[in-house]
Amino acid sequence: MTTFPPIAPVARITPEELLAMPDSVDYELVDGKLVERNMGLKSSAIAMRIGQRLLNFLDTQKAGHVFGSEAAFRCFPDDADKVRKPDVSFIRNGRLPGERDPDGYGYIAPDLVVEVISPNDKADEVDEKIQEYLTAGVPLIWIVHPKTRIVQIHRPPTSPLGASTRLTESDTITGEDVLTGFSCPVAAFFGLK
Amino acid sequence: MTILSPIAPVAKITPEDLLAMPDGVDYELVDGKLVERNMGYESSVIAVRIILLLGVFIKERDLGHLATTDAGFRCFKDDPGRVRKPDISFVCKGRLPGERDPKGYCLLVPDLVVEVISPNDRADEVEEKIREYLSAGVPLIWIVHPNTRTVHIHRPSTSPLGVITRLGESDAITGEDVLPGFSCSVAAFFDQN
Repeated sequence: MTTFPPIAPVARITPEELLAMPDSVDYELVDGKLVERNMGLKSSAIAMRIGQRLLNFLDTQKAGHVFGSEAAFRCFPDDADKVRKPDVSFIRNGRLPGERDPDGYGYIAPDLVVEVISPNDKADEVDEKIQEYLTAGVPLIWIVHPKTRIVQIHRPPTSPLGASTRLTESDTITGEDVLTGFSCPVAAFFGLK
Repeated sequence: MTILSPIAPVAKITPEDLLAMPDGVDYELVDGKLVERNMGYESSVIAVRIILLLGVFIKERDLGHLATTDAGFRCFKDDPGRVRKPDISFVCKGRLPGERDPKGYCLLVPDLVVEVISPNDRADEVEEKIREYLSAGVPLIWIVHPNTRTVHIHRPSTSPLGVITRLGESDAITGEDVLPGFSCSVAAFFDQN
């Protein structure tokens, strides 16, 4: 008779361990567990396009810092070890000490979070992220849906603009009070049909 | 040497084929293809809770027809062969000829659609359903998220109440102009008692 050893409890992974992993860029960290990020090529191209639009705007406005999908945030009040990596994020000037981009994790909540939906993204996980970012104090969240070519905008419930908006590709998206003056057709995010 | 026969093109399945299938209840029909519906146990229990809450209100006032997840709708102008099966649907009194419930598919646009998110539901597919129902003219859509205990309300772009509202469990949800007078706490959707 073969006796199996008892299964050891899975150790919680820390943010420091995540940073040290060779493939860490592929994961977020939630409740001590790695959460894989599966970004499709199409979604990646859209994220780049959005980042480019934001960077072009910031070239003239010098309003803050834009980060790509490798930028990791530890800014969640309910779990100091939670690590999320928005596809695109923005922090306005005056919040990062010395305006220097942090070497490791970002410990302050971004002012704008953009998530571009990929085919494998689950609906409940996306809503969880929205809830976490809102709780962390992110004032503006764009959820970009390539398949339907729409953008859902989420804001805190106290926002005078309302908590949510849905824009189609014939609409124009603006930076509201986060990126004042930024404006771009939603269609520009998606490129050719 | 075995010669393999060429693979025949997959025939488009018709709504009539779907009705005749013994396990037809498990599928929707989109672009002639079967789309499986995977409802988790938790989501199913929540759907029943919402049906009970709505059902009592609707029956007492004789407001119309409430259907569960087996009811198939063919109400999509861009694809008459498409069949969607909302987890819960409601059709106001006065719209079905003779107030008779159709035997097969309902060809009318429901007045309220409720989808309860299950763990395998993909974010882009949920968004596609929302877009389809809005294009078909559904005036009120509730997307219920068990994980975050939130409800997203979607309405047509012309609605004075805004296109999206996000309710947390401490909020009350109302029937708006579809079920005037209906009101209950969002928490009642999720809680045992």
